[in-house]
Amino acid sequence: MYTALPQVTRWIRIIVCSVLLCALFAASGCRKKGAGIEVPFWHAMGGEVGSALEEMVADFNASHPGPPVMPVSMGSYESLSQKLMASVAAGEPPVLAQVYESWSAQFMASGAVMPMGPYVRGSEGLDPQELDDIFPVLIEGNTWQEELWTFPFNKSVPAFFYNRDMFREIGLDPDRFPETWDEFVHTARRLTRDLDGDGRTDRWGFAMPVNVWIFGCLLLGNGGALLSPDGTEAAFDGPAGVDALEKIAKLLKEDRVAYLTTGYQHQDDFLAGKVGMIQSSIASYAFMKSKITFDIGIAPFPATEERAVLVYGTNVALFARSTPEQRDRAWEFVRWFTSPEAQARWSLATAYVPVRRSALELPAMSGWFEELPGLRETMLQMEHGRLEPRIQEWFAGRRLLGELALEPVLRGHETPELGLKKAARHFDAELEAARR
Amino acid sequence: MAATSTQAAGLGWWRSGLGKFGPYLYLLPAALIIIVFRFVPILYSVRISLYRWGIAGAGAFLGIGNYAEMIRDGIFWRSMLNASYYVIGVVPLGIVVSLLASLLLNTKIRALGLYRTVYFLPVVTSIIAISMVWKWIYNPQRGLANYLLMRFRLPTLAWLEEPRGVVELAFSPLGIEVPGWCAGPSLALVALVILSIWKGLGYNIVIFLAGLQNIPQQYYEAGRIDGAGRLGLFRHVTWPLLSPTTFYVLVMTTIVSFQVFAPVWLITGPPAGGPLGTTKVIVYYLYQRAFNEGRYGYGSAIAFALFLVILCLTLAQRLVLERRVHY
Amino acid sequence: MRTDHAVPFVGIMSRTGRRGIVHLFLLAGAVLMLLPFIWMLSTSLKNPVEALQFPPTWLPQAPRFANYVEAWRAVPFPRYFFNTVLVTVAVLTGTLISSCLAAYAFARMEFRGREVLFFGFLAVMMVPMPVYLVPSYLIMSKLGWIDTYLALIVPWTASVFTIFLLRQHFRAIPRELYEAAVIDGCSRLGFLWRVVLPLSRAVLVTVALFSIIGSWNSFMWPLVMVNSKLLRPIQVGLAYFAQGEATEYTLLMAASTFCIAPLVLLFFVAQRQIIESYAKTGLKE
Repeated sequence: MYTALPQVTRWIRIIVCSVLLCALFAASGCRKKGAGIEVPFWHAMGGEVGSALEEMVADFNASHPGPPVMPVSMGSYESLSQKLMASVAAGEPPVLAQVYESWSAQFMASGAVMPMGPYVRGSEGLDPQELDDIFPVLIEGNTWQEELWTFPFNKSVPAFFYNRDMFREIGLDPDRFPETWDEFVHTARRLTRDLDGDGRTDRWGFAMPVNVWIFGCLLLGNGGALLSPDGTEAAFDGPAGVDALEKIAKLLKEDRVAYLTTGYQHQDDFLAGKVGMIQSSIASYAFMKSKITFDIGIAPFPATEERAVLVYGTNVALFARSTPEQRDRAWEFVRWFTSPEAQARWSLATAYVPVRRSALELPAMSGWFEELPGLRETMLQMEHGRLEPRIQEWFAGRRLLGELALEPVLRGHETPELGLKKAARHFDAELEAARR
Repeated sequence: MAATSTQAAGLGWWRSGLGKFGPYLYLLPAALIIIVFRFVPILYSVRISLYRWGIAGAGAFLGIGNYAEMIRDGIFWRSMLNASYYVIGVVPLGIVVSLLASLLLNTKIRALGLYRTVYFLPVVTSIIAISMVWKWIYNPQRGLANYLLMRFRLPTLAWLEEPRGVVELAFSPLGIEVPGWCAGPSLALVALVILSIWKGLGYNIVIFLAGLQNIPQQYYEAGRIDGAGRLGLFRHVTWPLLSPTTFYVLVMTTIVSFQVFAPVWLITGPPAGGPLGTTKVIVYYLYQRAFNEGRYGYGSAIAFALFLVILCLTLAQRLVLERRVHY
Repeated sequence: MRTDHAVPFVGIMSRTGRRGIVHLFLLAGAVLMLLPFIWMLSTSLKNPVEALQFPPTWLPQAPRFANYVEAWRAVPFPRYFFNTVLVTVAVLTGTLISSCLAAYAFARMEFRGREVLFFGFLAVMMVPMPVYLVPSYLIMSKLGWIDTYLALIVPWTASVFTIFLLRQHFRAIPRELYEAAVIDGCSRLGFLWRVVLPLSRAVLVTVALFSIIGSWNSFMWPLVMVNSKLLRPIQVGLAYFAQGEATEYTLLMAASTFCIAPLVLLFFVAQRQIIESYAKTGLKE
């Protein structure tokens, strides 16, 4: 018998279940609000570097009473940028986050972030000596329209890693890494060997992935620039750029002392003893540390004409949708983190370059410098640091440079001049579109 | 049950399915989701594509600016070309191989179920896991692919790292130089095509099998009486009666293949998009522009271009090929 | 009808000869289909040094199950599994509810605009994902749903494909049954719940299987909608594991294995059902 009552009961059951389900979804979507003020800090560091950061944050929270800084790792810069974008759109950004210069410009334009300047100049800020203690390129990189909007956080320089045992083997002084590009090529030649006489090279001087960094440093070393001073067109296709790319291509094609790899293969091959020298971020040392089986050396980028290296890494920004207390606390953390002692600790754990020069003189660091000769000099490259263009379009620019110029040229499918011209053309179109 | 007339009327209304509005209420949950999460985004996409939309939100109104830029963008066209190569590789080859396999499976053999299971297994496994396995297979130094080539005394290949076109590669040992425009898709792209065919084979086989088994026996008998041999039977009975199925497989595979993304994102490069941008397919380019570079307006324009292409392809297939389909 | 009349090239050999040839080809094909899986399993059990050996070995010298443990612990796979299961179950529930109701209306009720609405739904759902991915992302951002389960679940709780399949089936239920039930005092909803659904068990299982497989394997949507590790479903987790934290192929293969294992298990258990469901999608019935 179908009676009314069971029907209603059925309906009620369905409604109740649906409501419960909805509640479950809603609850899973809600953020757990802590009992009190928190300072969310979003970053992109993972693995050991991420753990080091979280340890330091925990120490800060423990030793400095106040609202806790809550680090959240997004795992990669790609995820971090997407997450930041979404959160700004939703009106729920964190208080503090790692940012690239090009993101900052956009966030600044839309009012999503607040300048750090007032905090730096404020009562709890930095005095002039402390400001001077920061590497100039880092101040420059965080300044827009004469105001310090963001603050340097984890910055890296390019480093050359080399196998000192191999150097000794071929009669080179392991403490002396080539100081000019020509010397570097010469050394690579001496390292490249066919060890077992089978006609195939068993040991290479150099290995690299398609890498804008090397190109950029050589370009700047030649006195060139990536972007024209007025920011309207590419400048990497000038003679300085062509020469830089030719130098790299020569390693692969004519001199045959280097080969192209993808991903982190060059590091793996270096660690496996197949390659004598590689270039990588100085911070790669932290990743390679545990796998090193030989006497490793580290050295600055060989100079060409000018001493100039591209500085990578991120800064931190304060987001506007936050309370003054949160921002004060965030600044307190940033100030602590960028103090010489904390920077020395950070550098020891991750091999990032300290933001403050005086950190390099601290005993903890000196000990490390003695263990690893060349490290100090490598870090001091920051004095000659330069920045990539700080515009959003540079993401596309870097991609175009890699895909249209570097990769084809290094694989032998294009001449440096034509490749760079092609990339420049596309990049100019990108810049023009941005101006509309 | 004793009830007043109004109560009875109410119950009657309930029982009859809530009167005139009943059906609409039944549709409501699904309709709500479809409208809010499909219909609205599709309309919104049009709006986004008309603006310069960045990580800080909507920017300047561009009108057709993004579309104009897209048409002038060589990389956009290259991505369309790559996706087209991919579809041309996957669809015909996939159909031919799966058709052959289903014809074989349709014979009176035992263990049909077992074979079917084995062929179908890749279909239910995730593309991520599959891509990782194939990346390992394609490893130039240690992978299975080059190992097998070595065993058969064939030259090893660079697979996912080979930017040269397959046509060029095929003719180079003969000393013939192939002009750039007909070098064909890169070996890297073809490697992905092989992966896709392998993965989708079971699905197509299963559909073809169902189609084959739906062909009534009488037609074959009639054909044999008329003196048709095996090939004749295939041409005059199987193929025509299978054509609706074949057509369905063709259209579905084309639409799906054009939207390939995961293998490219995961196992090509770095830089992803393959050696020399030869595996950068249109959906991957869209992802790069929108989510890596924060150009959401441009990405939306690309999406519409893709939609248009798929629509035209589907319509073209209907117009040109459906005439030859025997229902 | 299974027949070998249709095989165009099998020659004039004897029946057993023919069968032999057929088996030969099919077996070769089957081996090719399974080879990657075997390779995957084999690598997953090797130790890292053996995995890099060339020429490679097929059987690992000393099967190393520790790889699985290590991979499982390397990233929060338990969390990823939990996320996938939660999303799969929630999407399935939502889809079944919304689709059964809608299919029932389309199948058995007369109302204005029925055909138009149905084809409207169909048209909207046929639009490829890339078109609505970016705007959905922006909309979810504004709603604050990015990095929540809501973004992963709610948009997928309607499936026109499911409605389509269910509608076909519901239509086939004879009117007499309904009339008899009405006489007994049953409401429309009651009829759906008490008669139609029980009779539709087979097709319900079918759509459930499709939904589960689809949810389990989804990648591009969660890739974009979810950023933090905590909410990643398996496929995204596996992808990031492959990209960032694992350079050891042994761990990668182990992770791939246990990521596909649940569906493979489901497949072996329900293979007839699954295969037949997929088969029917190609038939115009």
